[in-house]
Amino acid sequence: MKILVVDDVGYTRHFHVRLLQKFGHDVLSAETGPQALKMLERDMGIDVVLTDLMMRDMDGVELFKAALRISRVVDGGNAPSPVFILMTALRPGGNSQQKDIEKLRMAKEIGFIDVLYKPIEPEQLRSVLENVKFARGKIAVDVAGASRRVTETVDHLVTGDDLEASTKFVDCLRTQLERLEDAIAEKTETV
Amino acid sequence: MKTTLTPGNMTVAATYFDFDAALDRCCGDTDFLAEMVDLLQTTVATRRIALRAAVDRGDPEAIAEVAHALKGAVGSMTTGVPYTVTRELELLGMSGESAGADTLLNTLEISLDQLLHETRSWSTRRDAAT
Repeated sequence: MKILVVDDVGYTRHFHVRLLQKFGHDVLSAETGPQALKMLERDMGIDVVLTDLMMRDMDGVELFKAALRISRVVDGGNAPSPVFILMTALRPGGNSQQKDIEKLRMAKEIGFIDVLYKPIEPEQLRSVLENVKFARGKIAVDVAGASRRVTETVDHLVTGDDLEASTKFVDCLRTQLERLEDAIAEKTETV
Repeated sequence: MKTTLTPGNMTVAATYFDFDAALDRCCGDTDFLAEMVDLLQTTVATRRIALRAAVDRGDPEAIAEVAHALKGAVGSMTTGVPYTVTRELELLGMSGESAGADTLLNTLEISLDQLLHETRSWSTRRDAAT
């Protein structure tokens, strides 16, 4: 897989790049969130973004949100969104301030596939990436990206006051859910 | 003081350098570990100057930032004093305080010298053996 490592600390960035290369991945790196965004805009082949949480210009959660707005189009249609994995030295209830704990909570809710605590155990990282690889190979459609977009839309609707839009979105989801359930039932009968 | 038997029968007597854990983190690859040991020397040299400057200025935000960066590097080699004191400095800076930072930094510098010495010794012996 092609993996982008984002960390403003040179030592840890280098360590994770080398580790991922040892695992056999094609690895790119960025020192800042804005630099990572430029790479994501240029390179539609990036499968995974492994990003630190605490960075100076743009933190990992802000990077994730900004990356969602990037249009990823290739010749054959939409390129699947990269999967995001967060790295942090923070421990909930340990050395963290309230705003940092909030960021960690938010990261899990908005669509990071996993949060890894530093120092990261190589086998843990390998296992998370194996799961990503398996999911990518098996699912042709971008389920992770779609799920994230649905979650983000619901977040906007829940915090906003547009009742009409909320109702329309619920109707849309219900209709599509029924279609999907019917299709699953039909395929199950065939099998 | 703990003693670790390294690949190639090179015995390292170390106060802080946790060779086994560091090597595990590098997937058992001594070339990879040697590369990180080299990078540690330059990283620590740069960060400790920045940390000293931040402490002298009494700048909590800079103390937290530099200590955070240093903690990542030091933590890959030890969970002992160099790591715990770096973490204390980070927490102190995060709390908006700098009082007491000078004492912590003095302790840190002594322990960092020891850690660098231990990691460098391992690297030198390894180079000599290969």
